[in-house]
Amino acid sequence: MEAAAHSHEPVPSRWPIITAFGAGLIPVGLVSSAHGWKQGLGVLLLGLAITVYGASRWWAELLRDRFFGRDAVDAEKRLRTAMALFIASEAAIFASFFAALIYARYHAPAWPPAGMPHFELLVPAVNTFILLFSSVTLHLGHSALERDRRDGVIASILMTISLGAIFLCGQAYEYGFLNGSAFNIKSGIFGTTFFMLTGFHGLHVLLGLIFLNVVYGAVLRGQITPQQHFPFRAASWYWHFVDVVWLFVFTIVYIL
Amino acid sequence: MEAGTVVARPGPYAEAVHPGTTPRTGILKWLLTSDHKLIGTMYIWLAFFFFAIAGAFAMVMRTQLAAPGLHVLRPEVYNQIMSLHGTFMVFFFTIPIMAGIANYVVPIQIGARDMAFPRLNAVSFWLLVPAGSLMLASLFLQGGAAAAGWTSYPPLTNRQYSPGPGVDLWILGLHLAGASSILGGINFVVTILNLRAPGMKMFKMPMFCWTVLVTQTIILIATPILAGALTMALTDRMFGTGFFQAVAGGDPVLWQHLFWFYSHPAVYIMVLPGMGMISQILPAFSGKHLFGYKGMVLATAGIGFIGFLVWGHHMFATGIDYRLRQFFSFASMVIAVPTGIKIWSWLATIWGGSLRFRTPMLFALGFIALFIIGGITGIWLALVPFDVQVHDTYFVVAHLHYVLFGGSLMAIMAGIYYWLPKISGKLYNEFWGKVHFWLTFIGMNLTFMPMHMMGMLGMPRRIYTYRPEFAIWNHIASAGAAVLGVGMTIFALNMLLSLWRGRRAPADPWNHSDETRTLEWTVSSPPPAENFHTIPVIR
Repeated sequence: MEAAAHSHEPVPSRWPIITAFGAGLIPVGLVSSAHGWKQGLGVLLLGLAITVYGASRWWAELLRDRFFGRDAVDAEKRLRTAMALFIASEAAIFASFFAALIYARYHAPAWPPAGMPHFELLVPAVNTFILLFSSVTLHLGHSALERDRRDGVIASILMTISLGAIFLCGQAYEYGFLNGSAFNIKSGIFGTTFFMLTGFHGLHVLLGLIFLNVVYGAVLRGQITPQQHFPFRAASWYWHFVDVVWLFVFTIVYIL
Repeated sequence: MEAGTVVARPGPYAEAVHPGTTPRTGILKWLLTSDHKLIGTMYIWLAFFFFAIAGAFAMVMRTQLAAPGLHVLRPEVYNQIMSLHGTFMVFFFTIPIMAGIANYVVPIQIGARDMAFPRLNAVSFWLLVPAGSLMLASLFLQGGAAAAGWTSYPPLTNRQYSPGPGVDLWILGLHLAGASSILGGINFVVTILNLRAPGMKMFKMPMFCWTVLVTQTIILIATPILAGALTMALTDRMFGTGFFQAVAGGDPVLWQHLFWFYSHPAVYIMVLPGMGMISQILPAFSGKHLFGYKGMVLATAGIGFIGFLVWGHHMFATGIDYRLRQFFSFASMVIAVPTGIKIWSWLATIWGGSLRFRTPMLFALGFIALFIIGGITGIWLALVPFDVQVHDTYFVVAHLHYVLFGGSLMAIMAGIYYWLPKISGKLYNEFWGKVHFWLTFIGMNLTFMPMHMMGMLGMPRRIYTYRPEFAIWNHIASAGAAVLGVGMTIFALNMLLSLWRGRRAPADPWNHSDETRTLEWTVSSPPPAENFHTIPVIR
């Protein structure tokens, strides 16, 4: 059916419209619950569930048709460009939060402002090491994949997932002793930028972990091969990206 | 820019239909489609739906402003209507309709069967439906819609000044529209980079494809910054963060920096594809190829790049550092250089050609005339002393409408008249098309030219009424708006009548010369499923 270069067919799919309308329910729930309608939270969760369900069914269709279809060799290039562009747009979102922090610091009379804590470096430094190490383990997994060593791939993904989870625990621990009545997300621009930047990054670590888990499932089902492993590559790029962002967070938020 | 000689390449691609699937019919054909032509068509319909609403808002505003001291609208309702007019025209008409036309035309022009990611394309479109509906719905809620203008500066958007859900829905609606833009941006860039037919080198692409490529790249870089800013505004309102709160050590001016870092490039997002359409329509109706193709490409990229360095010229009155003012002032004037290259190239294109004044050509020529006026007032506004003088007056309103109405909208109309026979397969009535053009051209100038005078005299923008001395200019502007309303009604009727019982359009209703005919005119109107029976090879 499909052999020519540039070939792919517009197959009808119900998941894009379902995902989009699910995403449209999220703001409805969020705004109504923020303005005192109790069921709003339910609508929000429903919207989230529909979005996630739609996206996962979509993913299943992609696995069936695109990544491993007969035009996968051609698709690989397209998908790589797309993933690179997606990561670039994510980087731009982070840039806006970094800009907010740098702008606030430039205009603040003192940084940290009076009454705000100085950060202990131990936990974030250990976390930096853990995240860097997780990038290394994932890269080893990529090498193992290219040599078609499935056990190595599995071990490396599990290692990476564990290290990412440890990172999140470390961050939760740090939040636990930092977050208090004197210092929280509402305690002025210092708390705001700290918690938003680290929190937004933590959210991306979580997304990366979910992504790795999905790829892990695909590896177990034998859908990732040395010839066709775009999902692995994409998850890997994403993970390295999250890692690099953390280096900026660590440098700008904690050290400078 | 000519697409070169097209040679059919017999390929193994004769069977277009996926085995085991039957083509859908009825409403599900549209709801579940991932075909770029259907999605592009839906984009165009949805954008015109929002255009009608935003245009009706404009009519109501001009009625309220027809004479001093009228009370057609309560002041707070005027603010909501004014805010939604801007928001809908920018985010739900101009940007989506450009995406819609590009969706339909670009894959055919580069010789592809579809966009790179058909399902992603569908989700980009469908996200716009809840996004626009949320904003519209907010009009009917307690407290009404967002009323802080399309720029929504804090502290106006702070919880204490905008307590209702309107601003929250505005923020989240734009979030959805932004997600749609970013996903669409990825899709377009990948399509243009990776799906060109054999022999369709980058520098053989039609000019429209180039402008779409640059535009979508701008979208990819700039829209996430807006997403970040919107997130900050939302957490300020909902979770007590202090990004834009002076009491918390934050700064409302930060919003302006982030907002304009997106929204100035957004001006080019709205006008560059229009310039691409003009760059195809002028050659088509002059019988000559585009003058200075490579220069045009570089000028497009140049505008896209410099567009990121000028956001501060919206903020001359905020007290930013004088060195920043100088930089932004200079950078803004530099934009005139690539723009000038484009205008001279267009003039050289039609120079000595055998011109045919069909409706798309009239709109294209109107675009040039009006855009030059908007460009010149743009240079004035780049001058700090002048800008500070007319800041937040109707002069700015006049300028932006010469750019976005005289520029983007005239180009969109040119593009719609040019490609409609291709999209629908039906011809429209040429006479009423020309009537629409003249009513639009005259009405546009009647409406917005007097606003320059209002601004110079010091009439502030975004206020629901005004002092009696501005009356004469406002009478003229409101009369112009009525002319525009009549013109747009004629446009709508002409288009609907054409869809209903227009004559069949041939593959090339414009009789392009060989050197101006791009690929979409080599296939039937409307093009067959998957566009090409065999993928063309470009020489």
